[in-house]
Amino acid sequence: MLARGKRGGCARARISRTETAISCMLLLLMAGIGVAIYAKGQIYDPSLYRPELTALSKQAPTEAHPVESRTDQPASAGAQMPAPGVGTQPASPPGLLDNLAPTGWKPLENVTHFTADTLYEKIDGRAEEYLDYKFVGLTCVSLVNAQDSKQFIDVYLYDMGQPAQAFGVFSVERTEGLPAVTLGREGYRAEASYFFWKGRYYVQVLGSGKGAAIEQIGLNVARTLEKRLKDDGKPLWGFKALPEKDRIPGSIQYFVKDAMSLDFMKETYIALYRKGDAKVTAFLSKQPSGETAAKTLASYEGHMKKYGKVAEKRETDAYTLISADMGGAFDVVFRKGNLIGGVSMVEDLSMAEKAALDMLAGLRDKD
Amino acid sequence: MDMRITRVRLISQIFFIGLALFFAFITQFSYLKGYPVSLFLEVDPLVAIASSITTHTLYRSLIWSLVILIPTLVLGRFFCNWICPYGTLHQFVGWLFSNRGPRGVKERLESNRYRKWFALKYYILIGMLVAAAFGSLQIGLLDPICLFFRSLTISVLPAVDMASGWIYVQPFVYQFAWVVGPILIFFVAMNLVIPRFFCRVLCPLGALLGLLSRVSLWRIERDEQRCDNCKLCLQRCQGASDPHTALRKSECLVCFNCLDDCPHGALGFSMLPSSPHHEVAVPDLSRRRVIFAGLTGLLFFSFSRASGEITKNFKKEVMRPPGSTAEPEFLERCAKCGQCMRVCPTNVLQPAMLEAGVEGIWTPVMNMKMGYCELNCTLCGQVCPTGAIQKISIAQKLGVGEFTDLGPVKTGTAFFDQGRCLPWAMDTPCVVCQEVCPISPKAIFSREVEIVNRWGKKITLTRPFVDPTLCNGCGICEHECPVKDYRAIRVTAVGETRSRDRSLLLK
Amino acid sequence: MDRREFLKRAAGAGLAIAGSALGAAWLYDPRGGAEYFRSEENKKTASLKSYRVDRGKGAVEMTVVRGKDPEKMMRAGIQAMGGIGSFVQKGDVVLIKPNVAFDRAPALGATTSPDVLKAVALLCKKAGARKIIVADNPINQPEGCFFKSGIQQAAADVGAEVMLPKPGAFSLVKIGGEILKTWSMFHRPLEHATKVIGVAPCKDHNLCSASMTMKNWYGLLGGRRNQFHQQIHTVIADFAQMIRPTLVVLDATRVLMQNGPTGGRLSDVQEADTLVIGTDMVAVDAFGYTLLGRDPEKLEYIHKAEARGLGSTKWKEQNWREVLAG
Repeated sequence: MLARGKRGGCARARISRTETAISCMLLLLMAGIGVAIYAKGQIYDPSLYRPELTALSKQAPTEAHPVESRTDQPASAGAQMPAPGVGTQPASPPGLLDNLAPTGWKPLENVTHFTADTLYEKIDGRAEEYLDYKFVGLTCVSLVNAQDSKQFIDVYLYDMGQPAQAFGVFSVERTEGLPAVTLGREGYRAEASYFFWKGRYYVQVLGSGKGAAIEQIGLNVARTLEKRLKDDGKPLWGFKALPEKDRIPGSIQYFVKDAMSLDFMKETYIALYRKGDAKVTAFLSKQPSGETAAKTLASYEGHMKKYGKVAEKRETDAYTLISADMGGAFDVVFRKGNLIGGVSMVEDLSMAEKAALDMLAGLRDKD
Repeated sequence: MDMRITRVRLISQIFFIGLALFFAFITQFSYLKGYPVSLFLEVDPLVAIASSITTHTLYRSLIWSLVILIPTLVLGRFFCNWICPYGTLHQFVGWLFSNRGPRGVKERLESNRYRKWFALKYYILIGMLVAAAFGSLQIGLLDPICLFFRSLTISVLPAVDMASGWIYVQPFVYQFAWVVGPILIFFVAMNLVIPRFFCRVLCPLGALLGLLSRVSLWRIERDEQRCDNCKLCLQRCQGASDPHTALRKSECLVCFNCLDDCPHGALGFSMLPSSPHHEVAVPDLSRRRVIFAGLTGLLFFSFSRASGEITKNFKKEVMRPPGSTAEPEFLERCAKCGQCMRVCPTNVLQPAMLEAGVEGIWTPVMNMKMGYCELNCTLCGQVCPTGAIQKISIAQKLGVGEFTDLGPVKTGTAFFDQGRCLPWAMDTPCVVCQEVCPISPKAIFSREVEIVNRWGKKITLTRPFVDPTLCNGCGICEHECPVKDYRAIRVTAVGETRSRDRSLLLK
Repeated sequence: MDRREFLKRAAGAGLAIAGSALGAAWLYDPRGGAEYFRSEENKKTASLKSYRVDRGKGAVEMTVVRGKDPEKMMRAGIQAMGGIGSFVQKGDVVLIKPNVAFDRAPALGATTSPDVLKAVALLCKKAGARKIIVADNPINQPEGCFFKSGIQQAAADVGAEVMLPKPGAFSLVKIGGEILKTWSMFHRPLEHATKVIGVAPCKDHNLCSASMTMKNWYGLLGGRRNQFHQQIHTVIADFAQMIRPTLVVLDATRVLMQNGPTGGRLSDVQEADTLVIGTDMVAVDAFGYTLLGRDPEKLEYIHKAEARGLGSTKWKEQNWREVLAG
């Protein structure tokens, strides 16, 4: 196109000013179009490329469709749940067990409530343990399958007043070896029953019988309830104060009294540790004051003298440490400020003392 | 370096064909962003006018066609030689294979002579517009922009990718590429016989713009005093518009080559004709042929609708992209441009041949063997210039948020072929279909059965079923089914939400 | 004909004859065996080396980390295992293999959380890794999956290279499993890798009950993966034979409790705020199964793998730690 047949004969050797001006304007117009297209390319609705989560969160509740396990099961298993994930509002305590029944299930009676005075009416002798842990109130309800009244789920919601108390009663009731579940701060499952603690609540969701179906329903009830419970998430003191290294997970327990079966050991956290092939118990307690701590130490010393032989007593400005041979195994106890701690039933004295000293070193007075 | 208008025109052609190829390349998930990749189709006046005839509305961005339409009314068919990428392609190929030297002058003069049968494009246009008046949009078959992008999508880009691997992540193929590709090659090759063959003989858009040029104020003007009838202005005349005698306004492509080629400077671009018999404003059409063309358009519509593919005999394989309008309206809107097929990330959209009837040639249908409809994707609707596929959000497609009452968009329903399904017919575990079903809760559920197999062993099989209330026809189950030749679960069109007529369940 | 012409022609003919003879000799295939009919051993296959690191007896093999911040959690967990330096050294090329199988938003729990991926990558970078590759062969469309799951952005944020499963990136690999002897694998990411870390979400699965760190390796395979479902538990056990990674991380920050492996609703997902880091994928999966509230005794593929000596389901008896992190 650029080659001209007769170059010499072309009379358009000179281009008029108008033509040049128009040409320039057209070139600018093209440049402008290019820029405009590039700019337009950067403006787009991002939800086209990424599904909007706000839209997702407003999805219809699961009411219309059964919650599925891997495959469909007979009718009782296809029970439906009120939507767990949608618009959960923390309910005020009175309503925590309302509307908990899956579709096809119903509460046997109204939700019942028990105080410290009436707790024994519901759980007899076991009430004492809860009362030790400063129990505040129990709310419970029994859910039953409308089509098969032999299937039931009992829900017990214990308000223990403080997270440490809720954890305490959870930890002393826990049996070793049961599969853990992620419910609340910690939880586990036994057949179709679920146990967990969250904030100041300790919860038992007890399902009848066994099998994947009832397990699933129980789990859903537990989850729904769990979402309604408030928890500020602050870690418990004992979890951080007890050393973490080599600690056997799930072994921490909080005793409000009679820790390690010693009647003077109150408000004590104990945990198991792995040392080589052996398991070692370590304990730690924050006493109300230096005096009570000293008194406890004295009691412990008395216990050591009565049932064993004191090997060493060390006193410094910061702490007092006593180690004793309790008949084949060693106990080491120390007091630092208002803290009492130590190790129990360790076979090797030097290892016991080292462990106790390590614990001491990890502590600060105002922990 | 002077700034003559022909130079600028050349730059403009390169710019716009570059832009068109750029759009064709970036029309895919990773690059698309907000680029107006269907811009050429949206400014195409034929697409705008024909679709407004069929639907009685002007869809969204088609209003941009005024940007081409209005200047055409003033300046003539500048679009054909300044913007149209297909025109540029023809001109380039013609130039490449022409005899450019001084010895070819006579040949070139002869090839750029006006021929009577260049009027064919007007008859084609009329036929198509009459068909449009009755509700069938067929301009897409020969509209140059639609043809250009469609050919790129279906034939050219897959071929380029086969050679280089630059276009797709995993290679895309399109059925009937063996038809669309050769058609493109044929039209382009015809430039060796007659330059700008397609533009002069077949292009309905060119015909439309030619008719609109009738009222144009500016045109090529020949100064009779200077002209010595050497006819050298025909050397590179693109439109074969007889600038050497009475200019055929409807054929002139405003390429300005004649201005450069005239040795006497007798040609110019001016507003008012010095004498009226210097221009032929209206194309050379015979009334009989016009009526014949119109009748063809009408009969085409009647006979194709009478074949029943839209209504009674609708084919189960014709599943349209999500967000499509119901079939009669779809055929009023689809310009067969192939943009949806290009942007679709899974290669499920394929050009139909006759599955959707003769009106539906090259319209998009889903082929689940080749792909499936990705759940969180509505890209096809974003690039559709005419609204055959509506621009829906992902929330609307899934039926969530504010669209919960409306429910999800369904393009069909899946059905099991229990004679081919492994756990149903062959005592073999599988349920890939259930695994990949993207809906929650899954639209495929299962029941466990215990059977004794042929060797006397008790085995448990998981047998799948479709829940039609939940299935949205996306087809990933069919796509992933291991019975690869003829899948044991197949999606068909019934149950699609775009058509009440084709629904399956009572709401 | 003159002499010259004769010589020219004779030379030409001679060359042509020699050429044909040599060509025929070079191409000659007396057995006529087509590619398909050759036995598996004769096919050209690659082999995977072991990416395990020997840290000696007494090293901590698994940590369970609880917390809200994935970066803090990864650091604390790896610290409890002896620090990232014992796994990744300066100059290593690390392949991080997430699960990007579906085009889901991260909150739907069907894919690896981008924050966890970033946390793993940052640790590797700190240890001096030369290059980090993020790769997966998704079930949905690759570009969409990497983008919508947030993994593409996460990789860009840490300077990792994303490898997409283009056709040329696959090779036939010898696996030597019970069902999978050789298979087409997405091999390019592994070509230069010196360490491999699998990062898998914890998901319910409609067929094999749970998709965790063992099932994650499905995403390295190509070909007719949709046939695995016919013997799914044996095939998953084969995965543990196929690859011996440096580490696996079970991303249980969210757990997909039902409607897996695709999920689709927020109500299918539970926040579990847990990461499980381990060197034995069988043990990690055994523990991970409890996060779904199920009994590991009932998960078939981990027991199949254990029976073949590919790992141990008795995570409790191994040297493991529980860590609370920020």
